[in-house]
Amino acid sequence: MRRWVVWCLVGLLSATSAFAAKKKGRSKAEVDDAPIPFSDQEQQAEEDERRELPERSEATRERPVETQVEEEERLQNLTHTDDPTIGLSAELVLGLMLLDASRGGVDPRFLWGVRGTWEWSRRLLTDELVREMFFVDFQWTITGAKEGTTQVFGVTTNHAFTAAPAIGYPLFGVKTPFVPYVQLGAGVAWQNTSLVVGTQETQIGGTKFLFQYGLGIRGRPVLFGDGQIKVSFRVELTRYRRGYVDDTFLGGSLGVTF
Amino acid sequence: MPAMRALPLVALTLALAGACAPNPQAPVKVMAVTASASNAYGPNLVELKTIESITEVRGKVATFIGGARVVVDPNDPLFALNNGNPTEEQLITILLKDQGGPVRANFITKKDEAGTEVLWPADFHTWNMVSSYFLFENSYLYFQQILDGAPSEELLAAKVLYWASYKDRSGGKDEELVDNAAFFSPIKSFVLVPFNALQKVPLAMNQGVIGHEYGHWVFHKKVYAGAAVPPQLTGWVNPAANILRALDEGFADFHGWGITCMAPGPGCKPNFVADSLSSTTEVSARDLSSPTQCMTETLRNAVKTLDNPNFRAQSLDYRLGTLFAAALYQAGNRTGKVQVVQKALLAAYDDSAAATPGFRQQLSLNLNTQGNFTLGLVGNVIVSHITDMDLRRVLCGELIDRLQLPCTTSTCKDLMPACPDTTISGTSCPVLPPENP
Repeated sequence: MRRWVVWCLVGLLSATSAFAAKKKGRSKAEVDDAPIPFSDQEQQAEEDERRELPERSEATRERPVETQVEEEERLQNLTHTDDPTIGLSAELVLGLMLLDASRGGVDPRFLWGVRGTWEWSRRLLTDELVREMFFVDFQWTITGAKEGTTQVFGVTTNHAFTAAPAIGYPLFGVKTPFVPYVQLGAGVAWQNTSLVVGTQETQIGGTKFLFQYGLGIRGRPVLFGDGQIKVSFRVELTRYRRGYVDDTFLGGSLGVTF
Repeated sequence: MPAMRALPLVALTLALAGACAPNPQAPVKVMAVTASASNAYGPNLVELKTIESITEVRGKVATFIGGARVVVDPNDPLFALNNGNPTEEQLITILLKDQGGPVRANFITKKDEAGTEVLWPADFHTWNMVSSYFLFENSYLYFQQILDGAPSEELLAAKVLYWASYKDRSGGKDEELVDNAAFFSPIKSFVLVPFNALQKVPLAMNQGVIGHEYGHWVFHKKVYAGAAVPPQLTGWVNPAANILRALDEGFADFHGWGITCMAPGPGCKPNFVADSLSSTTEVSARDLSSPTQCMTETLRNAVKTLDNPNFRAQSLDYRLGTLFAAALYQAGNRTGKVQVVQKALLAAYDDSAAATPGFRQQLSLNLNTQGNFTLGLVGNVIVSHITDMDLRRVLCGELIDRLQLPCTTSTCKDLMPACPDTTISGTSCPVLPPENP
């Protein structure tokens, strides 16, 4: 008895759709196999079919409100197909560092270093303009000097490690690869001096807080035809507050962007 | 979380702390390049007692100024100011084309074994300036000591134009002065210029050299009364002008040596220029302790006949000056009364007593009678300020001998009335034949 109830329930479940279909009308297969009725049978069949039609048709289906996800997918920005680079650059930095000289004035010295740049807005933002605006530099540079007489002299090396976010504005349009920017950052300066007096050498080293600010123009013209790799270059004027002195860098960098 | 919220403030505080210049109160412990007891130069811990700003190397004794530019050009149209007689302030403006500005000494702070902070210069010029300030300080302390309680405030607040550009166009050429340290009275400042050929101990690190230049500062203050251009230097001619210039150099050498005796380090160095100069001829010529520092016929003739520019161009002011310095050195050391000689010499710079007029008074008295300013008069001024008769006797003997004074008597009272009756000439020097009348 219990088994019969279960099977009945199962049958009811599967039959629910059959019942619903039957309420809407016969299937095409049933119509094709049906005997061809006589005229009075046709009228009766028609009456039977009208009786089998649902009492009320379903309302016209209205277009649902677009969800946010659907809207986002519809408005998917394809600018990355125009610029397939992922926004990572590696550059060689070169230029003239005007060190704040302890004797007064400035001490011009050659500076070189390496810089890594991440154009994070290119990866994280979709707005065609805004994604061109932001990047962050991670940089190491070195400059040095040897001063004194043959008997008494000092060899000084200045290392600078900085991280500096920047904001640029594509003044010449988002399609041109040149962007002027301003930048603010911070880091650490490590200074090492070797004092030599005769044959005696004394090493002194220490760190100082470094504050960086500057401006420049950054360029990313295409290197190869498909744009996967671009030349990355920069011309800049950057100031460094090294402890309680100010250094000025005039120079630039050259590298590649992936 | 409170700790996380405080993190940016902590970072900002640390950043600002690191960005501030060290500004410890005197006495400041700092490393400097000085000579040890064995005369080996090297980094040693010193205390700067009069420093006020260690990063600007500014203190009671001296202020270091960087980036200054001096141009001596006789054709400068600005000399026409004040009807061709510029005031001292105008003169400074004419000559000092760029007054420069504060230096910015670079230090790394470390703790010594006792946990006290010690400043270590972080580049060569900071080592040079800090070491030099220490030497200026020692020089002031020397003069303060031998002034023996007399006021010394006028010797403070010296200006030192460090690594200055000094161009001399007076010879018709544009010559940049290098390898030198000088006191330039028209701008009332010391000038430490870049080195080029000199490659031994920098002049700024040489105690005797800095002491010598400080000696000029003291002579300028006490003998010339602080005048930028003393009238005697422009109005007198040979031999008075040559003798006056030589006095300044000789006394500066004597005091420079005296400062090496008093300052920490190896002790007395009569040949202090040897640490910095390479020329053995020049070094030998400036050695106060050499018993052969004597007048020669050539020098005696040059004092009388060479005009002052040429006299100085041949460094004969140093030659003659060294004779004075050697006489003072020998007299002081032979009697063991060096400090008495030092005090007497300084007292002789400015003495308004009618019986014992000092050099300042003699210059004023003889402004228009420069012929009276002779080697004998100079010797007498010094001797008359020595109260110890034995020392006076020895000094008189040294002056007679080394300067080959043309005394008519054995005591030389005709030229130096202050010499005692027991005076006899020294015997270190060959006797020169009498001068042609």
